[in-house]
Amino acid sequence: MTNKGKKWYKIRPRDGIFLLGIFFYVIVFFLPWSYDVMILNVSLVAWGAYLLHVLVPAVGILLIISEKDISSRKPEHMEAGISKDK
Amino acid sequence: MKIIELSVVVIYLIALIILGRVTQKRISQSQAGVEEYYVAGRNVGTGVNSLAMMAALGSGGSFMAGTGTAFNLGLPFLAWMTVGSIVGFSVASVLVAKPLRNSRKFTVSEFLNDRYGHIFFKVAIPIVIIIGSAMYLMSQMTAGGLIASYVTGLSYQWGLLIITVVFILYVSMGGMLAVTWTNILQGIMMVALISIITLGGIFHFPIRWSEFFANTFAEQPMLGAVGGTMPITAYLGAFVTWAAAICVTPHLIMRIFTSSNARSAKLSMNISMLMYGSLMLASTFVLVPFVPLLDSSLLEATHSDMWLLLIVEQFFPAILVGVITAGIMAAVMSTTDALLLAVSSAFAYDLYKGVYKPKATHQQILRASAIFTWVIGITVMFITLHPPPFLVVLYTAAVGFMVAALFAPLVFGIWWRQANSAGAITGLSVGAVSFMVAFLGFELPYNSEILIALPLSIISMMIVSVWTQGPSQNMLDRMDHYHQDI
Repeated sequence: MTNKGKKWYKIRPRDGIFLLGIFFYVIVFFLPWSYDVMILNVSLVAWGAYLLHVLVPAVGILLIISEKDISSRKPEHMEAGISKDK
Repeated sequence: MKIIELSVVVIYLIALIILGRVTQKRISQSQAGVEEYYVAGRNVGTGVNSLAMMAALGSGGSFMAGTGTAFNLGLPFLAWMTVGSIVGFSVASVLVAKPLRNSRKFTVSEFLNDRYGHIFFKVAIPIVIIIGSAMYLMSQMTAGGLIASYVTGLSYQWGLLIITVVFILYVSMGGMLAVTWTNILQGIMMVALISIITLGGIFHFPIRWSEFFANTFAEQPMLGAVGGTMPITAYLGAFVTWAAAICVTPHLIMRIFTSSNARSAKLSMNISMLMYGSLMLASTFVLVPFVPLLDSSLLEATHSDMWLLLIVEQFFPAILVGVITAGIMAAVMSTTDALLLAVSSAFAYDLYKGVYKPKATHQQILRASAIFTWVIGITVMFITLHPPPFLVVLYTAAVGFMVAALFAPLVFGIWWRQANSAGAITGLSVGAVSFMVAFLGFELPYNSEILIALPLSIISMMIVSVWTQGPSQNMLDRMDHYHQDI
């Protein structure tokens, strides 16, 4: 992701969505609506964090593994070194 | 004295020293001595690095102290503090893993020096790392001293001395290679033993888990409530501190430099956290309900960080308690040795070679590293002999201080082409100073200093970078290269 001439390096769209997803998830669970919702005497605020314990790394692993899948599915014209752009 | 437990622990400690000696021989015979010492030859595979990363993060503060901390400070606080570091690894795998690994540097300081090329960073970054990591190191050494005291029956001070000498020995001999090998061993032990402890707890539930768990709230009514033990600002502060910390904390981020490639680094960061998160979840929900069953006078007489061992003693025979104690000691030591190496790297590689003696030979750097490891280890040990009562506050503050100072220069330096040395100097200074002012000068809620210092650091760095001349084309070309898939 070089994008020369741009002020910012471009982040992969899926990585960007992943980071934004974490950001909004945290915001949602820190809003006051969740403070008094209790499950097994434990606030939903805590359950939100506990779900994140496995959700974030699991999604992170899936993103990286599928990244490899994409790179291994190179189109034939790329593997032959032929440019698609005419 | 607990003879069986002590025997198991002594065998384990001797194994660590032997491992240090073996790695020292390997490094002295290797052509790439410094590369072996600091980044374990850059060929650590994904599975192995995952275990080592989990071991470097999983410390006395999490696996050992988690049960007591959750009971005293409440589940919501501990949940957000723990998940902060889990999210932090995933964030770091996106934001910093590839450029750092592709740069082929040895330390974060070296990367930032390369990015900004200003003498200020050669001195300021090692100083920030030394201050932050040394405070962090103190808290881990305290946990090590407590557990050594528990096993040997000796005083805390003697326990601390024994444990300090062992890990200084193997870190000074084997460097990162020894730390990696021991972290693998420690990681395996941690996974196995936390699983065994959790299973032991499950088999010893006196009643159905849901009822057992509900009974805990009779003893500690604020266990699951928000704001019961501390304000919600503290949850957010702890989460933000750890979520940002992984990008800049040297003893964790140096695992990226040891990876065989960038993809392996990213994958191992997430795998390690899946293991860590699962273990923390299981151990919290299974073991915390056992705390009210312990005798209240025993709880009062024992440091809450050690309550886990009191629970374990109820489930298992002495020999297994010995193995478990060694495993918990492994959790403490795996963080401590990585921290010690990070601080000695800051002295030997960044200050000694980077500033004082740029033409130092590999042998001189290795010798300086060994000397600094001893000096730092013993100095921190003496301070920890009489630990201040606010150690937990210091420990999180140490991490927060490093985040406030280094996050903006590192992450914006990687992603923003306009980031320049003037902006980074400003960001680092504003972050460090504002954090210290907020921490020392104001009565803010626990952990919340970062919520002020980090935005100030980012904003000041951006303003100054925009208004001053951008970095050279040569440097930008190097950054372009670091962002490529190599």
